[in-house]
Amino acid sequence: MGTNGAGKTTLLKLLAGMLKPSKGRVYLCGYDTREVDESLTARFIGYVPQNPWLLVFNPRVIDEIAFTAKNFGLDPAEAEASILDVATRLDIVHILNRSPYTLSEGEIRRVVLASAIVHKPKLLLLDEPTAGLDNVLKDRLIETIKSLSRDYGVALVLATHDVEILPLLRDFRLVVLRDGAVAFEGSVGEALENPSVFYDSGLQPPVGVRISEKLGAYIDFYGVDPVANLLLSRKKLRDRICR
Amino acid sequence: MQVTELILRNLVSLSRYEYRDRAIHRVHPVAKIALVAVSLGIAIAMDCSDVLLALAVLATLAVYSLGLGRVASLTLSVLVVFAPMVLFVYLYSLVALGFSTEVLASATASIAVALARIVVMVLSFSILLLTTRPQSIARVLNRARVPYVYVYGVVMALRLILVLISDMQEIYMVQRIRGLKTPKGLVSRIKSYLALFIPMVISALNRADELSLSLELKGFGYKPVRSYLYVEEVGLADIALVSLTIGLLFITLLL
Repeated sequence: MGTNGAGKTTLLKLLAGMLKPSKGRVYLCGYDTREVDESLTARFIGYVPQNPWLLVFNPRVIDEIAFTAKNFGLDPAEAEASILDVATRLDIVHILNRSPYTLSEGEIRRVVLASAIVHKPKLLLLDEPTAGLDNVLKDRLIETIKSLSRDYGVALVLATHDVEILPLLRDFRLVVLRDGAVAFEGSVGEALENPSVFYDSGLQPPVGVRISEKLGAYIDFYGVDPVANLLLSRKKLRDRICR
Repeated sequence: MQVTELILRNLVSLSRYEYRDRAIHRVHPVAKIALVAVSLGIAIAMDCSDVLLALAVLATLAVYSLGLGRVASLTLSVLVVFAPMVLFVYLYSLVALGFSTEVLASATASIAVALARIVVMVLSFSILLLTTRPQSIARVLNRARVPYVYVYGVVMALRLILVLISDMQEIYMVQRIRGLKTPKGLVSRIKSYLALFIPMVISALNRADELSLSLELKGFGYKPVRSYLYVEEVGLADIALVSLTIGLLFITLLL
């Protein structure tokens, strides 16, 4: 996680072997990415870029997903089973025969995700997977990614500046970047309990954390817990919090 | 590093303006355009010694303006792009004229001069485009009575090319991660290029659409005349560059 320009995408590209480190080493399944061509390490990786439209070129969604499967030499039966399985989990079976260019933002993101995971990589890298999605779609996509990663045994790395998805990723490890350097490393839970992690890196904590901060400040100031105080109407409570 | 990556990276850097606190960045665009015109003339019409002189002058100026690393990288990319043509000329000369030391020496000399001509053109354009604000070029052309709508069209096309090449780099890298390989057969190879070409076209159309919309919203083209925020002034550096250009022109004409 980090603000714009913090180095999230660069880090993902380094992990994927798309960029070679000028200092230090990146080992991917035992291969030093500086010494091997990315075509060798590509089969271990599923990569979903920030702009999903950069990947799409096939006339039908199913061809788009099958493209990756064919490239990595899955036999037809295995590829078909894998495509169906992934499509079912991502709820895109009904659009498999449609043109990708007629899909909504949420649908195209799921298609690109399906094409990144169909060959069952060991590492799935997602760059801003929730960009441009509404809250309902965001939550659904994150839950799907988590369940896919769990069932397929894929390690998951998400790069995002969307703090609102953090409560869904409580059991994840969080690395906050600032100006290309690690500003915080720990669990998501730790970060949520210590909002200064976000402020120090130029981010804002999730809305829930900010509300609880304001409630805490309210209790400190008035000596009254507004939630516990049943005499206070909801409207008054909201007005006071907002003020 | 992959050859394709090197070429794409250099294509991106070929016309990307970056400000540096050097005298050449403050030189009036007209002086640089004059240098480009003279360099082009020498590269196209003059003989070997003139071209080599122009190359030496431009290389020195380019190293000063852009840095040795960037100039070396640009030159290397030009050589890589033209390598197949060089190979063809060698083979054709040897097959058509027969293998002998004279033919080999003559072919080598001709190819070296041809490459020097191309490098002269690339360096002169790089000096202009990499050290001049696009708006300044637009303003100068506008003052030469070229309508600003067309001038900005050209400047924006230049910038859009950069963005598209940068998209191309991204598409190339991402499709390779998806396992895209370059097969050996011609048909398969062309088919594999569709994975790069189609997303590239879609991305170009999307960007052009966004750009035209944002220009319209900013009132672009509503009035025939417009004002400019920056005005370039003539200074000592301009006189030095114009003198250098005139000197180069006279020496090559007299040599």
